[in-house]
Amino acid sequence: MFGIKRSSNKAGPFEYSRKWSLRSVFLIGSIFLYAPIVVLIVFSFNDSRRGGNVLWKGFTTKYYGKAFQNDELMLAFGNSITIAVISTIVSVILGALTAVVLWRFRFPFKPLYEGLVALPIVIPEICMGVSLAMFFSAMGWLSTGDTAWPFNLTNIIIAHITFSFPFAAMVIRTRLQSFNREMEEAAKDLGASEFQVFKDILLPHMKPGLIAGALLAFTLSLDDFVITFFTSGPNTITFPVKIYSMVRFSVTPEINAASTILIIMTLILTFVALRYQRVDS
Amino acid sequence: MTDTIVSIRGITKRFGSVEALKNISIDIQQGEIFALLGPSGCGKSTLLRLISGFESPSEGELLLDGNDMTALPPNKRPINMVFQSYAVFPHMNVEDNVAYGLKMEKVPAKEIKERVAIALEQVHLSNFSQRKPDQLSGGQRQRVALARALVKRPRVLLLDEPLSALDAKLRDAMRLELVKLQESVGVTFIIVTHDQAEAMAMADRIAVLESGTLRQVASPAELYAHPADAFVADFIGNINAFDVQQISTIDTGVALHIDELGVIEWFSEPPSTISIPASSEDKVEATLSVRPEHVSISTTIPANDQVSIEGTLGDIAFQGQHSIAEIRLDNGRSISAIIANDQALILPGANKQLRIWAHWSINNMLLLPKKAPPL
Ligand SMILES: Nc1ncnc2c1ncn2[C@@H]1O[C@H](COP(=O)(O)OP(=O)(O)OP(=O)(O)O)[C@@H](O)[C@H]1O
Ligand SMILES: [Mg+2]
Repeated sequence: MFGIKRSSNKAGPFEYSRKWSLRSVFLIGSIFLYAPIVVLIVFSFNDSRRGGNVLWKGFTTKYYGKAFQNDELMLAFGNSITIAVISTIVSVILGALTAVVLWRFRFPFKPLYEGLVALPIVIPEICMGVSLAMFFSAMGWLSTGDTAWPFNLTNIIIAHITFSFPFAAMVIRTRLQSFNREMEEAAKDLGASEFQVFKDILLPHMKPGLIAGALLAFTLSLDDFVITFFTSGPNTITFPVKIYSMVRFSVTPEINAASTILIIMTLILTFVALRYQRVDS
Repeated sequence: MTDTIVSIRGITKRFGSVEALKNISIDIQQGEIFALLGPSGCGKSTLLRLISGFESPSEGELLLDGNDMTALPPNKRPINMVFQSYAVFPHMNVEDNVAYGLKMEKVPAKEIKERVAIALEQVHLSNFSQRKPDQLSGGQRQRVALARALVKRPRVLLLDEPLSALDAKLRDAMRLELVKLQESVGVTFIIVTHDQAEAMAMADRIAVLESGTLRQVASPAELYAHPADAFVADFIGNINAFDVQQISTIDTGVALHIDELGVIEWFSEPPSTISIPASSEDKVEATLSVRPEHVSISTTIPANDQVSIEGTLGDIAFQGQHSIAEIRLDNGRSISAIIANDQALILPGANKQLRIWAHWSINNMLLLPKKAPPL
């Protein structure tokens, strides 16, 4: 008798997906976002000598083989991984300490300090790159190529830590927000010391944040181009910088293959990071 | 049963300019269930946190078995606490949660196992030892928190609003269970609650707090029958209070002038906490009250030896074993009476505007100061 009347054809205010105009905007947006990546990946399997060739000449995986046999590319890849691992470890430790301090204590000018920590996130990367390059040259820390591996990567590692530790700190800080302070008191009430509370109660709570922060720092470091470009020397090429120089030389499907490898690594890490963030809530 | 276990001596606690507790002194006896009762913000939790050691007093001292423990940190006090949120550690299973306190004490592993098993037995959680907290109900989580504290064999167990996170049905069951548990382990319980029914049902003695001051410490029955003042009387169960306008001395006692009831002769000494003004014109800070269960209603004028007041019958609320009738006085105020269900059934609804008399014996009335000086 009093059933809800359905107006079958008109879309309600929140039925975005039923509005034709909104659907097409979504579609066009998606095409511009993802089509280039899909093309890049597809053409890494194209049996053609030129990567820019838009004609499909048949399926091959030989350019992956070629990429793996390219010594310079593999050296750059090794550099990238080394830099990412070291800067991630340092970033997570620094980030965790910063997050705990900001969460736990009250001190004068705390908002100012919080702002300063977040600053590297908002500063344009190009400015960070230039300023770091100037800083290293002023300190006389230029990578000349004489230093032995992996110490020749020190400048890049320092640069990567400066931009990735704020991200780690933010992620860990967010996780700490959900910590029930009664838990800490309960542990103390049961006889735990300050350090035992940290080890047994706070750290396990922070764990998803630490992992998510680490994966974030790792991906940020792995695919950074701008800042690395400004702080790398002739012998300290990273994977993205190497790809860039290869593109300038000539575009071959090998570049597509190398880029695809980078994309897949980043995707996997981001996916895992998101999974851990979801464990949070 | 007269050994004092915790002695609170002249405790004052200030948070900046806020005085959360004002000069509180209480002695808590070995083996009793002691309730701290009061409205929200009166300082109950603060007092509990002082006893546990999470706050330190601004003034005064705390004794345990006669020894000063004011300066001891919480992890050095033989006192454990069940937190309002239970604060069960989410990443440990039930067994590890309960064992945690013993591990901190460096108890040998074999003994830990035995004691944990006994503690889980006591709270009926033996079958749940491997569960994670998120696989437990609220009531089960609370029992983990209880076992975790009791396994430490504390001298005193503190419980902050232990039942407030449970639903009504479970709350009633847990009240009984907590009392039984306390009887079997013999540990002194100090329970914080804002629910007077809970305090009355569980506690051996109750301290009533109001905005940082201690109003009365007594057994539930004593508190109900002889409240120290109108605040306590109103907080402990319902009461119909009538303001006393004037008090004058007569040969048989005092005469109480009450707007709603006329002049009532009170044949005994009024409580010393009521100051009788020199001039009978001065205002008096006192009330004369009667509990709803002592009030009867009738449709005819009651006998002369009864105190009575006329009004209109209002709503009747069915309560299960009895009903509560509302009597609307002519000045707009309402009082309530507990009546038998069979009487409630023959009374008409509020819309009938039935004129009735509420009446009771003067012996059931309480003459109380509006506010007694704090203890
Ligand atoms: N850490 C603190 N800093 C400042 N003021 C506080 C602090 N803790 C408690 N207070 C104040 O002390 C008073 C008593 O607080 P308390 O938590 O003891 O109340 P309560 O009786 O437990 O109330 P409730 O039933 O709402 O839990 C309140 O006015 C509160 O605002
Ligand atoms: Mg409280």
